[in-house]
Amino acid sequence: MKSVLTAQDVLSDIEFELVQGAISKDELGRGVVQVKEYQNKLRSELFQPGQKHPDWQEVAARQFQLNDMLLTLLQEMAAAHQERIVQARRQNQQRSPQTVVTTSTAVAPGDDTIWRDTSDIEDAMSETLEIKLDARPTNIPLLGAWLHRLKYEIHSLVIFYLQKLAQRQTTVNRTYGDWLLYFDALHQHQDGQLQAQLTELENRLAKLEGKTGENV
Amino acid sequence: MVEHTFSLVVNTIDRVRPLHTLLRALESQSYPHFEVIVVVGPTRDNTVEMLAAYDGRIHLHRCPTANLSQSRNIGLLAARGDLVAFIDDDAVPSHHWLAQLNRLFADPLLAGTGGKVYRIHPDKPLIQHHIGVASGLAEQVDVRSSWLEAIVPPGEGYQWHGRMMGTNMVFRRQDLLAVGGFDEFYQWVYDDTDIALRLVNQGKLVHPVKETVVYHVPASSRNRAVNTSLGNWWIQTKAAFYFSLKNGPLGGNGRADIFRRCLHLWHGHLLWYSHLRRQRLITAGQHWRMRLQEARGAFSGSYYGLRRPVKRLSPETINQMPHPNERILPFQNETSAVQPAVDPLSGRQPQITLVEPPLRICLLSMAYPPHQYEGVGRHTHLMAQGLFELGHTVHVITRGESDAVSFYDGAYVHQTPFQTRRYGHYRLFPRLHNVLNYSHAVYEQVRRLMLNDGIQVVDSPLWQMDGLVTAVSGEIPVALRLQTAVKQIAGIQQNTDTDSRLLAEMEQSLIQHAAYLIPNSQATVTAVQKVYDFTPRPDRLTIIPHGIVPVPDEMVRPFDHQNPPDALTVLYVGRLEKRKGIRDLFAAIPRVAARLPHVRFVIVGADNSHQDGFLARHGADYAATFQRQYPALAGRVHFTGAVSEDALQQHYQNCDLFVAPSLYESFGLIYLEAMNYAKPVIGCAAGGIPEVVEHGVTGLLVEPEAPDALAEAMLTLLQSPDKLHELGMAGRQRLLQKFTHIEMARQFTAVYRQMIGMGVMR
Repeated sequence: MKSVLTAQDVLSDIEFELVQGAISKDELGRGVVQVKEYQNKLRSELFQPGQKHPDWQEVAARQFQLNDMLLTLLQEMAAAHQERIVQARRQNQQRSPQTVVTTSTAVAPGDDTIWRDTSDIEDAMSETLEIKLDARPTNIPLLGAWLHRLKYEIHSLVIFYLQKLAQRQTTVNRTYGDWLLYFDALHQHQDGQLQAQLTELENRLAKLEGKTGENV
Repeated sequence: MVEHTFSLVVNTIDRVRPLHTLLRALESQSYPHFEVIVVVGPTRDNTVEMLAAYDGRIHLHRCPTANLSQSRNIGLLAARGDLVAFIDDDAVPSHHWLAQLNRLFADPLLAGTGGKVYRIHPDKPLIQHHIGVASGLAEQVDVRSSWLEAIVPPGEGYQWHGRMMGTNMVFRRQDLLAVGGFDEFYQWVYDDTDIALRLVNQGKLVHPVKETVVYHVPASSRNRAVNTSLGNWWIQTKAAFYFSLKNGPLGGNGRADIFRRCLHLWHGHLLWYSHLRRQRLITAGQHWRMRLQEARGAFSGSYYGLRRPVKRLSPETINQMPHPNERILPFQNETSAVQPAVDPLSGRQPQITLVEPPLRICLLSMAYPPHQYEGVGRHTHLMAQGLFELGHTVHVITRGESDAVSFYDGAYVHQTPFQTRRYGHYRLFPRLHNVLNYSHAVYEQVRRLMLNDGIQVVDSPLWQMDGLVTAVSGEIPVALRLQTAVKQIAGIQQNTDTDSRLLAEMEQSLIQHAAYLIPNSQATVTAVQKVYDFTPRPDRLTIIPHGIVPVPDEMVRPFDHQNPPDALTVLYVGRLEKRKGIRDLFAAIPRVAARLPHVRFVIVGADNSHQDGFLARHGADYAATFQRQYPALAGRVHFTGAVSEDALQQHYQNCDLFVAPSLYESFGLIYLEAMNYAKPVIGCAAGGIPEVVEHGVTGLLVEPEAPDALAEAMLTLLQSPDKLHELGMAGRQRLLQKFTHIEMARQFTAVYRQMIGMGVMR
């Protein structure tokens, strides 16, 4: 267990960050989510319950628009792919094979507690809770459309308040996330100190036992 | 790599000064295969006379009307290059602008592109354009961080496409001609958006990019008065109506969408005029005239959009243009490479003849004037001024709230925002965490400057370690200016925490990774060697003392020893903290005040008692503690706190004696600033101070932490008018001989050239 951070650890981290970069996976992921959300929104707008014939010209225009977005995504993915190839080449040129990216060379093999991956917490913090409307049309003759309309309005009202609640919950989540990250870092630090003290104690005990043995 | 030829088209009216600046800036383009076509509208200034100096180097054409699209078409018809680039007459391209564009057009599918546009403004610098998009309803999103931002369009238009700003756009000539060039209905604005959309509709790839930078310094024109709200904004309305009516249906938008969009735009303009009126930014007459013109614009845009065909170049006109295989007229000549840098704001160019090409230098400083004045920032500012005067192009990377570029005293100042989202493992060590994140943001900015502006060398201060990540990356040589090390300060202030230890270790790593060390004094070399236990290579180290801008002789105020004033002023400048010797000064002041009742003291500088533990121990800051201990001296000791640069210079000018008993200074710029006004100085015989202050010649030196000796030195000088005069004048002479910013810049230039010549990295 490594207990004292050194400049070498920091330099290793700088070199790790240097080989990162370009467009991140998350950014592409966010782009895909945005397109999906937009598509869902359009779907609900274009195929509204009770509407006899969708406006096909509108549908076609929106479809072209979605194609444009997907093409943009493809373009960015290609750029990101290219960037990664360049980086991999650079990494091969610049880094020696012994350099470990996320851990110091002094860390014991198999020990993954010092630099724990906190990306899941960070991802959770960046997520915003959102509640979607789900008012399916009913098949009751005559009153169906009227009932559906009523159901829709009531659902919308409920969702309005839920959405407000969700926004507050998102803030709470972010605060929790911040504190979790802080405690995680604190834990790592204290863990290191504890291990150092234990090692020191063991050394002293060993010395003491040695001395006692000599006296005996 | 294919080397395309460029025709650079500049359309101009009544802007002789910015145009001249642009032409001088083009001398330093790294890509030589370009011609310049200047299309002059019905100008009323001496543009044509100025252009006579470029006879044989540029193509000059005239446009009979003040119509930008018509002017662009004239330039297009005159173009002989494979690619036609457009840049405004009030802009300056980055060094590698054309080289980058040439590389982009290696993609045979690309028909048009353009890069980032920074608006250079003294108060409000910002990004004007960065991978923008526009819809068929004339909706524009000009600044996005990536292609994926606003991937879901924010407006009502269905068809969205990339657009470039008119001051930074490039097209294949054949593609432009194939779509009939620019639509001459657009006399101003939307010409750039329209051409991009028409190319897209022809199935061509139009893809604006993130870099390929142009610096824009908006100047007044017939259509707008810069830095005011006055302008022919109705022309925008006219163009937007026309654009929406012509392009909206092609993108799938119906009449109702177009009508709604046009009404929104018109209404928005009217609301804006009312706001301007309420803010009293326009008169009532101007308000009504603008409203009427708005109606005229809406009617005209609608009529031409609905009833008239587009006004493009006809095939007959295109067939009459110069032979496409005719060679371009190169703009650059044999003297271009040695032209000094030019100030994009004022157009000033240093009057200097260079025998070697000027350098492109990047200086780092977390704090930088005019917003922040402190030691490293001031030194960097002086270096930038000196290097510009020697003809070099200087870029400064400093901390800022947003990505923006301004030009200040000879340097492009790149504000670099940063977030602490990297190096999360070091959250528990806030100072190190900040240093790493900021240094990484600086590294990314350095990479952009390498790409766009071709910087050849980076110069970083040791303080704050701005250049740490850049030095570790090894991508460009980093010169390191050595000043007081963190470990020295930690020793003085007795900081023993892990954060300080790690910072000190990183400082040592930075010294090891730097390609060249530039200490400001021999004392600094000795101190750094001592605290970090290393021996620098003599061929990678040069001591360069600081230099400052000498004030004009008429501003110098030597002590009037023939008619000494009734009251004398002693000035202290520096942070109020232990390291600066403020406690010794406080101990000495009562003794001097008791002996010399006509002496008053001015203490200039921000309180730093919370950092050195004084506040915790005494329960009050330095000023309050002094005033509590010596209430009788309250009227004679004046604490100003931090002051502006102008006020600081006033204090230097008005004092009779300057005192700064720092326990350690790696150099001591403050003594030079006092000597600049012919003031005698008192400092401590510590650090680099004796290399600046000659004991008994330009001032007096006392041992550090010796308040008795300090009081004695003050009494000696304050009681001797002749000494005050003599030492002050000697100080001014010494400054002019050894410590000017030009002299300093000369020495830095020699080091940089040596680094570049040797190709030293680390």
